[in-house]
Amino acid sequence: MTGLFAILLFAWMIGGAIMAITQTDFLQALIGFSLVSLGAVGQFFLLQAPDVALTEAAIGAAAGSFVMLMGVRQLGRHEDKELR
Amino acid sequence: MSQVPLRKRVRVKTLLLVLLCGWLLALFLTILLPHGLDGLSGTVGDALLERNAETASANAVTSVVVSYRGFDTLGEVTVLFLAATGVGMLFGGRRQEETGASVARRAAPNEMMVTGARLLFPVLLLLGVYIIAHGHLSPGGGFQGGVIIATAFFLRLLADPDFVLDHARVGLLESLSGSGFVLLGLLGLVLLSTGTFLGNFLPHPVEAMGRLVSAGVIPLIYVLVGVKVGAEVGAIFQDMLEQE
Repeated sequence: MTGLFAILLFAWMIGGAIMAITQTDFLQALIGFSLVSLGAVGQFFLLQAPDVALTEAAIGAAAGSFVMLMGVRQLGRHEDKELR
Repeated sequence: MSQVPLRKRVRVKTLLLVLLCGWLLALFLTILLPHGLDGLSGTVGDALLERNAETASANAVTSVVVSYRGFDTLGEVTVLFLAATGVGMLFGGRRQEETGASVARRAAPNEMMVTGARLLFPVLLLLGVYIIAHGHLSPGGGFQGGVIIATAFFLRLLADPDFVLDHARVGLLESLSGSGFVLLGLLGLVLLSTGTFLGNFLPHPVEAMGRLVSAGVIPLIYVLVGVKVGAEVGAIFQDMLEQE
């Protein structure tokens, strides 16, 4: 059961990472990035490290996403064509 | 095709980098991976876990973070302080030219944001205080609770344009709690009963393990760490928000 959860969370994290890379909308890419952090929270919990899971939830999923959200607000949501 | 020399067709640096990565992976798989697979190393971690009862802290991670490796925690908090100072210098450089204008220029937040932040602010604050106060009993502690409190204040800053964290007051709170941390450590060093930096000089009977008032000096240090981390992360959020 734990292995099944771990595999599901791995699929979740890989999906979030692919979303973060491929999306040209910065806001959507940021959501993909926080999905990766949220999956990592579950992984740490399954590995019986609740302290690390709580740290990841507070810093990786919440505070890190907020800092990047500030960046998105300043840069604009859409990726410039010449940057690609 | 034949005009282009071979070294231009093949990217040598990239190839070397790929080869280096492959070599490192092979090294990891052959040498390092079997080393970790035959059981966890039974040296420091097991010894600390066996001696955990002497700190009377129900959460073994906390007794390692605050008591046995308390000096490392002081270093981590100092690194976070340096990061907050760097962000403040980076973002606060242009504040003299546009004093006060940035606050007024910010667009009014929408109704969902305001209502949601009003609902969440006290709950998040309570959760942060709970996690800090129960750091020696349950998972979590000063770092996590401090960041949660800072996040609550960040929501408040986003929802209410008139609400501003006073930089001087936040800095005072942060330096007071940092000094308190060092002072508790020095008290442990000076008192004869312990004689080590961050020694647990308050009474910490093992029978009280699991109660809120237990583990001697550990909850006090974690509260100070929580206030310090909360003030630092809050200052970072405030700086980033003022920049707009």
